[in-house]
Amino acid sequence: MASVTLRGVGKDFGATTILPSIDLEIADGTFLVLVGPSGCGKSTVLRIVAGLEAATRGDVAIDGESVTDKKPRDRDVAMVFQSYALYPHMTVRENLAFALRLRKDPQAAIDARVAEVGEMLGLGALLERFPRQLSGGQRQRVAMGRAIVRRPRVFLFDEPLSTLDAALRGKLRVELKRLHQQLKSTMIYVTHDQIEAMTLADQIVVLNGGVIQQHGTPDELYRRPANRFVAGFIGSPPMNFLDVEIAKDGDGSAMRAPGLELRLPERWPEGPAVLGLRPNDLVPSDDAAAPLSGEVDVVEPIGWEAHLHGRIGETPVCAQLTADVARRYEPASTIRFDIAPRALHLFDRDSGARLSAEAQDA
Amino acid sequence: MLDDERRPASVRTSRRFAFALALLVVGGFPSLVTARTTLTLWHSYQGDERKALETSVARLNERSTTIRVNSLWVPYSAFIRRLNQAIPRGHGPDLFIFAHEHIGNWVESGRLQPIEGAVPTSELDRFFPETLAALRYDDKLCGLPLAFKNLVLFYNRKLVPTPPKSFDELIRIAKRLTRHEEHRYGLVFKSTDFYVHAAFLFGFGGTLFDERGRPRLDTPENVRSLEFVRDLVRREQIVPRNVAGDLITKLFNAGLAAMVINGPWFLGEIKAGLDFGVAPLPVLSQSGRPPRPFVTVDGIFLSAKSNHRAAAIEVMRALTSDDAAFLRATLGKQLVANRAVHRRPEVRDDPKARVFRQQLRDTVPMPNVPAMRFVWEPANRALRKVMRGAAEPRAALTEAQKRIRMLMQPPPPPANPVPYAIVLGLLLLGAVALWIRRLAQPQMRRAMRENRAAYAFAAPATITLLGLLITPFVMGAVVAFFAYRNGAFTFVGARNFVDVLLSREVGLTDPLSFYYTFAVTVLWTALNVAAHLVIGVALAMALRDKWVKLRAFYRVLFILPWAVPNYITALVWRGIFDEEFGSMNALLQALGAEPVNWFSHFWTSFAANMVTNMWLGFPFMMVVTLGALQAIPSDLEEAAAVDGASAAQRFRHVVLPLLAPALIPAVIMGTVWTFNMFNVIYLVSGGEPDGSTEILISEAYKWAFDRYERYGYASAYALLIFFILLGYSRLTRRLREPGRT
Ligand SMILES: Nc1ncnc2c1ncn2[C@@H]1O[C@H](COP(=O)(O)OP(=O)(O)O)[C@@H](O)[C@H]1O
Ligand SMILES: [Mg+2]
Repeated sequence: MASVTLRGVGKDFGATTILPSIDLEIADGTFLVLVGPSGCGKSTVLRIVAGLEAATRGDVAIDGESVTDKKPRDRDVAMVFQSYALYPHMTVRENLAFALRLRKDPQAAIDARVAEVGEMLGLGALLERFPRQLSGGQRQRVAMGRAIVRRPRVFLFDEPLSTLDAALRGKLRVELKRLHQQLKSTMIYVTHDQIEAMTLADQIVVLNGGVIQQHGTPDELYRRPANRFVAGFIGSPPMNFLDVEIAKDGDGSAMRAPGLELRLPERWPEGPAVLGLRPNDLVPSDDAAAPLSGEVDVVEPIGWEAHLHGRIGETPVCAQLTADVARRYEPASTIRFDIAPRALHLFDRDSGARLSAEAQDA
Repeated sequence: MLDDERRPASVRTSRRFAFALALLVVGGFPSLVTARTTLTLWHSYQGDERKALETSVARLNERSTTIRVNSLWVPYSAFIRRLNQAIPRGHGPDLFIFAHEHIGNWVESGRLQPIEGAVPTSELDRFFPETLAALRYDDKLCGLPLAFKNLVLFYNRKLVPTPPKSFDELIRIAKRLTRHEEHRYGLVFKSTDFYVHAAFLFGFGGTLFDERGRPRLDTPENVRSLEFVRDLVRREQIVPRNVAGDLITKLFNAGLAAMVINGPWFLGEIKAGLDFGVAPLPVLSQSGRPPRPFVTVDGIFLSAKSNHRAAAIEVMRALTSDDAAFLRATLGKQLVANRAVHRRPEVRDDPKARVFRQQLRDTVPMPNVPAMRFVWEPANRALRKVMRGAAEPRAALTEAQKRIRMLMQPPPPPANPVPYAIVLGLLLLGAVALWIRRLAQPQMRRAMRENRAAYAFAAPATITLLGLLITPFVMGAVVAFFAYRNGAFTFVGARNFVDVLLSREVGLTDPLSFYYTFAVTVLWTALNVAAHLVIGVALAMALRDKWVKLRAFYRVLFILPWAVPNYITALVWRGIFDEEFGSMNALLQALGAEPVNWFSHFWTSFAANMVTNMWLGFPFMMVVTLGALQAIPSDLEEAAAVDGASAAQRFRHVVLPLLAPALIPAVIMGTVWTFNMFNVIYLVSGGEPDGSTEILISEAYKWAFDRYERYGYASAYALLIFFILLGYSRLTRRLREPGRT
């Protein structure tokens, strides 16, 4: 059980700065997911915490104690690799027991612990097999088991599910979640898949280009993305973005764009902005006064829901509707949408930062 | 000679044309029609000597109306082999020119016919009697002498203005000029070469054969000569101990050797401008007699298979005439055997020729009897032992005598080949029966039919490979059942194997015993392969790490020993370990340690071999390891690091087990190579001291080529090596097979 703290942690590979400076506080028992596109530096952060990569600057502390200069073996963390990294010349049992043997646990204790974890992960029948005799999902379980047997202070996962097929991935996601509930350990989990992040995490950190974009609960990230990047990254199907102009309109503001005409009661910064709308916040309306109007391109039914792809002005948008509703719209027909004020996300056109309405003077 | 069929068509046409032309000419000048006898003459002269000889031959061809001589140059190193093969088959030369010491063998094996009585005695008077004496075998004259070679004293006039008359005087001068720390020596000669030592041996009245013509080395006079030279080397220390290769030339040309004992060939090696003189070898003060070096005589000999004896003898006489000799003396710069030539001013006034001529009076013809070949190896061995201080002269010669007795043992009695033929026949029959049974199986027949095209395509390559691999192997295996004496093989059955395996001739712990050498070979192989493995893996691990700057550079550097031919490396290391001139001892001395006589003790000599072979062998293991390391995903080691393994534990528990599949075959191959690493043993320690560092393969070589051509015995060794390695590869096969579970 441990907390993890990163203070000003940075990493350069040669002349290239991969991580400028990361500050992160992970409370004891948290399931923290580090999410971001490929190559943004997630693995590097994880490897710095594990001690496999030395930070160029900054400090890593576990339980308040700096481990920056410690070897991986002295950090008491466990890591599950994307490639599983099972020792091919050892049986499942030997793989699981390896760390315990290294720290010279008594043989009886090792046997008991391996049996216990094998049981927990449903590996009991596979203990005498070699990794090459296992399926992908089984290997992944062994890799997790190898981390679990040790009861480490911190678990690190580097995209552990990315090589599995979708069905297995879903199943293992659930198992992981259960595992966390059971073990209540601190876990740092790296993925590029926002669904994994949303489903697993207590806390999500969105990383882009080596810089933390936002750190919060899945709910916070979903409801109040801090910038256009996070907004576009979290949520599926992804958020729609429309370029809009905001002008003063009485006490409030008016937002305009081709196919969009909306009065906002609050005062927003004037000028160009980007409007973000989640597909499920687009509510079809028969009302001719509905603020958004566009043209239908394609309707994609997916069981009880459907994705309606269309255009507002020249901007392609996607709306998430129930299949019944979507069925009413023919391709090339006009569609109008209502939007709840709460559903509006406005971002600065240049910086992408979230805009907020000016505080109302009493 | 090429057959007409194998010549290109154009050559054939032009020959036809020439033939037609010849017919015309012959038709026009009937007086010339007497068919000329064509004789072939083999020689191995080069440069000016060759020019001089060929000029004489050309003149002879011009003058003679009845004889035509075709001279053919054959390389010196291949001369004897080709001659021995060609003459019995009838396509050898009529005449050949070579050094005289083999005539005993040639006469005994029916390759050479003596010419006793064929040349008038008055004509023989034109040669120095010493040169004629060398050409007599079994009291018969076997050829006519062309030139002689003997040892004299060369001296650097700047260091030695007048040459010493006696050895006492020589020792005084030499002592004054010797400076060990500068590698300066008063006198340099190959004290461990019996060819050179013979001069002292005869100077002390020593002999090589007893009254019945058997080699006899342990006489008191011989002991005294050895003591004398030992004292020059070890007590007076005016002579370097180990003079190998071209060291004499280097030292003399560098002004580091004041005096040198060497032969006429040395004249061509001395650098231009060096002011030197030659003198007869100084008188031995103890015996009051001068040293009497061997004289070797280049003679012209008549093949036993020549059909033109009379014509050939005519050619021999013409090529040894005073005029021909004069040409060879002046153009070819030979020391010719004709006395009259030495009185002509051109030769008489050459002070160097005079000295060699003078020394000729005090020479002993190099023995030409076959038994001489038993003498060389034991005698050289005794010299090496004495010069490095490992034995007293008397003991060394007694041991040499024992060895000669052993080498001279009569060949095993012929065995009855019938039982062997029956066993072989049965084996072959069994193999054929097995084959037929397999071929008779329907599925085999079907497979053969279906793959007929494949078999047809593979056949040429298969047959060629079988020919290339199986033929020498079978020949070698067959030879192991024969004994070889004087050019003839006798079937002796399994006797060679019995002799080798029962160690009949020597004790089990004698370096000559099979078991002793086998034990050394196993030790040699095990230590080397272990060292290769450790060094190779360690370097590969070091070069893998990112922190090693310039690792691309190091990788190339470490592979270099592999890229250099191994005999060159071996020679370089041989030089490094030289007792007096090697850099290893120079380093030891610089560090304040005593120099080591590397090749005088088993372990130091073994270590020198080891170091050389380690240098040669680690790159292979390193390259194999580097390759295998690339195939180990880095996250396995990272996983282990996170699991709590130290660097050593990661290596032991993760890297090494994963390298094993690549290393095991490499170790097996390395074992076989090292087991048969002939070059290193032969060139570095040469088996020193006393054959104790020999391995099986080099021992087999020595039996075949250094010790009286015991080809059968050597082949038995080779076959035993083969079976040992076959057994080893069987044993290790299971290790190599993948899928241990
Ligand atoms: N050892 C290294 N040397 C140089 N560049 C590296 C090294 N490791 C990673 N990088 C670079 O750092 C960036 C971040 O890598 P990584 O942390 O693996 O990204 P992610 O896990 O988010 O996909 C990538 O652009 C990658 O190319
Ligand atoms: Mg990654």
